Amino acid sequence: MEQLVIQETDYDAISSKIACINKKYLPDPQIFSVYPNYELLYNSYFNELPKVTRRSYNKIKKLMSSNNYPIMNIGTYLRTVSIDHVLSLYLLPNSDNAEKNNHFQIINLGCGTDLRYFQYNHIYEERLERYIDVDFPMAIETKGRVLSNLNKKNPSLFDLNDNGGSTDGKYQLMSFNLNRNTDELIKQLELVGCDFSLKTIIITECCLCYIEDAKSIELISKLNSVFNAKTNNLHWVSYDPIGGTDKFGQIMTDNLLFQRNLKLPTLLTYNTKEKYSKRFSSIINSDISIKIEDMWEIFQTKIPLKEKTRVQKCEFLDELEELKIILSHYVILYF
Amino acid sequence: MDVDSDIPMHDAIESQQQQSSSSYNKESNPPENNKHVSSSSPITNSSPSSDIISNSIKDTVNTSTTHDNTQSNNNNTTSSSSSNINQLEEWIEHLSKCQILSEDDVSRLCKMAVDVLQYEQNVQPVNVPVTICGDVHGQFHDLMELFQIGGPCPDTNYLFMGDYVDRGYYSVETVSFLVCMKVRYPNRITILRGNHESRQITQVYGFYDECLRKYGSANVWKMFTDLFDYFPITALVDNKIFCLHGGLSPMIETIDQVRELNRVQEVPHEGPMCDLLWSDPDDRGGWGISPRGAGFTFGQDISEQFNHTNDLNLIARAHQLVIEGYAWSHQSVVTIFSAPNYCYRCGNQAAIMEVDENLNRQFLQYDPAVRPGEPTVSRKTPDYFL
Ligand SMILES: [Mn+2]
Repeated sequence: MEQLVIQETDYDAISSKIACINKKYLPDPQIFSVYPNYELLYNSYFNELPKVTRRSYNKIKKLMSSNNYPIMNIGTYLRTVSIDHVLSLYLLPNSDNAEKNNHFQIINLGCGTDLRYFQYNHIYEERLERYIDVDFPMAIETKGRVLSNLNKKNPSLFDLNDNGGSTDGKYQLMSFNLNRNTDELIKQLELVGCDFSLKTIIITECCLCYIEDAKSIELISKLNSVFNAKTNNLHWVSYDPIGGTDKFGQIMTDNLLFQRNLKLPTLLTYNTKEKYSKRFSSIINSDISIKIEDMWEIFQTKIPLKEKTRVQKCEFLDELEELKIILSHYVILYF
Repeated sequence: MDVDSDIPMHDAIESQQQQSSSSYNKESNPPENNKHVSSSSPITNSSPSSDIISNSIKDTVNTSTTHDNTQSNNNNTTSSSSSNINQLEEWIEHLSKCQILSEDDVSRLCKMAVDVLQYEQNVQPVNVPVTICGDVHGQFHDLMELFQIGGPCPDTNYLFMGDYVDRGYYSVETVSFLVCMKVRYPNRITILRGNHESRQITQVYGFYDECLRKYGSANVWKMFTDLFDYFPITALVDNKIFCLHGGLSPMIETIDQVRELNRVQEVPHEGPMCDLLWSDPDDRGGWGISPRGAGFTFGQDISEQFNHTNDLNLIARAHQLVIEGYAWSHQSVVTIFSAPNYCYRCGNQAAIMEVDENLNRQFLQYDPAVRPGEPTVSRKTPDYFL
């Protein structure tokens, strides 16, 4: 039951993303210039979904009709482009190193419906060695079936096998409940071809926030040691809500608990950027500099003026005070 | 002040001088109702019979010559009959339980409201004492809390500065209730237009969808948005406090220029009427481009000049979420926001501003009427990124 509640948060994520695409916030011009199929990819996934699970599709549809305020679209846009921006920073070819070091793999923990594999495989086809999407068994099963159906219709866009993974084994859909033992996770990753000596980027996008504190510490620390021990070449990109020092976190906790039975065990523990970042810095090598920004800072300082103007023209945003409150409670951490 | 101690409220006493309860209502209300925050239903039928609607329904009193609300003009309209009063009281009682009116009743209500609002002025004169309120945004239960905190209408006079609809889950109930109160007590409550009282904005921010959901068609939305065109756009309290939803306009130097505008139209995309409903005060001096994409920002130099030119003490406005419910800008501009925990997730307090007959001001802050997990609020979860 608890698993299902968490799994259904993906409905919020995908409905927000589709709404963002419909309103032309996404793809941003940078993504579009390197991956023109973005819109087609997400729309065809969404259109195929009811043939696999009508229940999920209807729930997403319903969310789309109610979660479509400009403020949500701007927040979804920022979440998406900030993660892509950080990924592209880490994926810039490194001319100093040997060819091998320029190859990389991506592991998306709690991937949900995220379809970044197709985007990144298109852009970095030569250098992307492996891309592993990890989520609850039911989520992975649905995703695999939808992708495999789509593959039959449009093999050139997808190039997948019947399980939804890629024919060459590069793209792996892996069922795993992250609340289980992390040693088991590492074993399973190895089974699907994860190379612990390769430059690796781990993505946790609204993933750690649903995991109990002790478990999330175990996850960060064991993954850090298994990768770092071999290569010292681990990157991590994490996006989550933070409780803040105002009432926002308590209200969010109560709203989600009472109305959806969804628990956010660490929202009020790692409630500031400093504390959220400490949960990593207390574990990883101290030479590594950890960066963290909230979405309001990203919006104010990281989005180029021209792009900001484009985004603000997608819809009429009526107020900034609320936007500031909401956006300052979501952070992206990366190292 | 007579306030129940169990109501979560923190008084920020701005003025040194407390109003005396005996002089609070200089008009003919029963003193026992004076400023009492009752624990039972505060709204319905608490009206004293002395408030004769027939004398005041079509109030065309000129601001500069008199401030006496009790003066009657006797140019009655058909809507002032006692059967209409009964009808209105029935509606008010129904609405105060957060139940919507039928489409036919909304149609009748809006027709009655046009008869009242069309005779109000662009700069509607308002007497003291009055309690001034900011954005409500469909948070019906919090509006009921507001009347608990501020005292029931018509014992307390109210001035609302717009944004009744959108964002909250009960825009229909909220705006129906306030319009009913306006028609029932036209001289006790003033309802200005906010930037959300517009056809365009309500199609993006929820009121349109809510009408469709609750009535099965857009008819009620059409009736209300047609009515919004008649709402006054500013008010002048005792010739000293200029009240409006947004702020100043570079095209308006004097209050008389506001009086010359043709307000009965959809809120325009630009120009003085748009600015009055959209502008914000800013720390930067002069006029600035508004990040909202409509209206302007104005600095302290601008507001000081405007207040000097028009012999004002204060500009009271709403339009911006402020965490404490009220906030000062410059020295003579105050923002009042009356939707606590805005959109059920922002965690802000709400406030209203009482102005007594000596123009002393007092802010009353309050928290949400309904907290997360309590049963009365719609089961829809506020939006989060998950
Ligand atoms: Mn407003």
